[in-house]
Amino acid sequence: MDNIKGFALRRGFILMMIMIMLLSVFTGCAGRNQPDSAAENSGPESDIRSGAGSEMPGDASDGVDNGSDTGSIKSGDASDESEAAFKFPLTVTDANGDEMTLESAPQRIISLTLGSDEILLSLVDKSRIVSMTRYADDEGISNIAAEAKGVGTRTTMDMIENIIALEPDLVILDTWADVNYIKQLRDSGITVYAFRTPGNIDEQKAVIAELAHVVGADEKGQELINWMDEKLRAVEEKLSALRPEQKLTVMDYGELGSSGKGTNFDDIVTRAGLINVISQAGIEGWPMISKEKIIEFDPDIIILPSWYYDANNSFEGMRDSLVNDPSLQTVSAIKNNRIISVPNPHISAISHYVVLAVEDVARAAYPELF
Amino acid sequence: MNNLNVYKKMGIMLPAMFLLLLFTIIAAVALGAVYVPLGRSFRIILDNIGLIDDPALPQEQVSIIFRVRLPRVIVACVAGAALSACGAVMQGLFRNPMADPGVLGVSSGAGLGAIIAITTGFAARSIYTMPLFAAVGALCTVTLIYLLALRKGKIAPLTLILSGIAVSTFIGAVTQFILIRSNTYEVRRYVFWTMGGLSGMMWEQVRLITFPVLVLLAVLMMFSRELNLLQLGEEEAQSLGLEPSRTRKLLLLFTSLITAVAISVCGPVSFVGLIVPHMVRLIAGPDHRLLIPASALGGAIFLTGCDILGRLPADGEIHVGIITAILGAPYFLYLLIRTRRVGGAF
Repeated sequence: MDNIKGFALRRGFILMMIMIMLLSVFTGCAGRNQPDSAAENSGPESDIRSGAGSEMPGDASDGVDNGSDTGSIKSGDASDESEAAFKFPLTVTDANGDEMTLESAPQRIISLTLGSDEILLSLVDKSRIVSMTRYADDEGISNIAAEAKGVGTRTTMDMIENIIALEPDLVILDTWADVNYIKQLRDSGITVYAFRTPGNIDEQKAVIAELAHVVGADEKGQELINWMDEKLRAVEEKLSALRPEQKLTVMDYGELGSSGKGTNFDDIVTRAGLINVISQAGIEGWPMISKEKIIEFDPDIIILPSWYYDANNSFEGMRDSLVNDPSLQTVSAIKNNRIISVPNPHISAISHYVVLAVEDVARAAYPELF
Repeated sequence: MNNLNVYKKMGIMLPAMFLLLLFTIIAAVALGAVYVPLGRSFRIILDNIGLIDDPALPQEQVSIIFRVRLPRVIVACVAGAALSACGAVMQGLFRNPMADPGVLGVSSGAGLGAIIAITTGFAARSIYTMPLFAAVGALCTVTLIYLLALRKGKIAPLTLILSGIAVSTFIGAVTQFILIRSNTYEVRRYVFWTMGGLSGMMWEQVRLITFPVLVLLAVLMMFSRELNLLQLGEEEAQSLGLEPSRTRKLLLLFTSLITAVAISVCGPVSFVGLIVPHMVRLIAGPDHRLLIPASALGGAIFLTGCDILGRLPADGEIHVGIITAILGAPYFLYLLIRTRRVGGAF
């Protein structure tokens, strides 16, 4: 027995030595692995690629199918690049508080959120976008499904190897992104800009201005913001005849709950001249609302999603289940048959298209004013 | 105990497994979403550790191999070895083939730490916050369970397992309470974390877990003889000069530490600690002197291999915890049914 123990101890010692050696090798490697200068990255190859951007003609975007005058938000054209030329190098701080310097206007941009897909496509030439999200192609949630065809490839956040292989000079993501991914990309010499998901339309405008600045398209960004203001003003004018006591109450009811204070939905319906019963009750965020509460809140209008994660759900199915629910028969929205749905790409937009939802909702709530 | 026999087995099995591990590592570095020729991958690694100097290597491939793939493979090896060796020790410790590090509530505690880190926003500040919160959560839970099971300075294994289940359930409920108050993004982050994943691993994580895990594994191996004696039963072990309760306490401490370290970095990867030791035991036999190192090597091979499978789909990878569970659960069931048929102990 004793020699077993002796052996065990000896082995332990030997193993320990091996481990310390291994460790020093690892940390040695890691030490060399600190962020090298991004400048090394710009071989002749990437120069050729970035040059290609300016030769593409601006694209007439017929993909925006909102029926109304959205023609003013076409894709960026070559002119914003000359504007950008004298602004760079540009030092910016992103929403995570990380500072970065862009040497020149980014020509190989990867967007990792649907919101930034939509904004970018209106800000810069298509040739400057090397990748977008897969959501961009989904008509149920995207405002650019048609326009996005053929623009760049598609990647998701965790496809780090693919992202690096695309040799982007700017990756745009939101502050929800895993810090590990952000660091991995930055260690590979890639500029990563994180924006904070806006919680209302004013914040949305700020995000657009921010992203426009980073890609060197400030003017284009201002145009988008002006377009949003115009849209909002038009709705405001239509609603100017509405007296406070005439305002109707509303709530949304979806698979993931309802929307209270501090949500985009709340801002949209407020701007559409409605009162959100959930934020009126002082509830923040996205609560799950019980049937009892629906009866208590007694909204005049219930908004259901037009699009569902679960393909077995549908607006009609959801509506019928509410309408046929015996416990909900006293609720005004159900008595008056005012369960409505607005186009999901608008109401869920994290982009300038969100203002279209204000019009959608106002039009559905007060058809007599439109 | 036939020492010679065990040593002979060791001399064959450990080098063989080590070779298999090397082969798996090479495959793991060679395969991935972006194709990089194997020869060039080697040159990139050699260049970066300073053995050769080749300035002509394409920079983006250097990043992919050396900053994305290699650290990930090393974390997979270390975490796999940690979880599997701990599983082997726990099964010996409780003399229960179904024990694994999860019984002590390590995973549930780490999960609570993780969701707190996510919802408070600390997780977005630094890459070290998630591991820190998860490790603290895991260790607090283990301590609580341990204290609950402690009676007159001794631990009753059955009380330990039962209070482990109760505390884990309670902590799971607290986690779910926080989850239901969180927004979609936070829930998403948490759910992905619980799947156990190796994407996003960097040299920072390698540094974080390699040293503690390897040192603690070496310590565990020194307890092989005591673990062997424990198999004879409490009284037998005592009569041979062992203090079962002291050994048990120390081993619990070390296994929870290792598991907490591994889980804090790559999430609660399920089933590695359960199935690998069983597979290894089929070949290596019950002697812990061989079983622990062989389980560690086996765990490294298994987790690295599962990660390769998870990385193969071109349209986005599958979390490694899903792969281990898909392979692990059927094996677990097979084990359960076979043991019942043979008339085993449980």
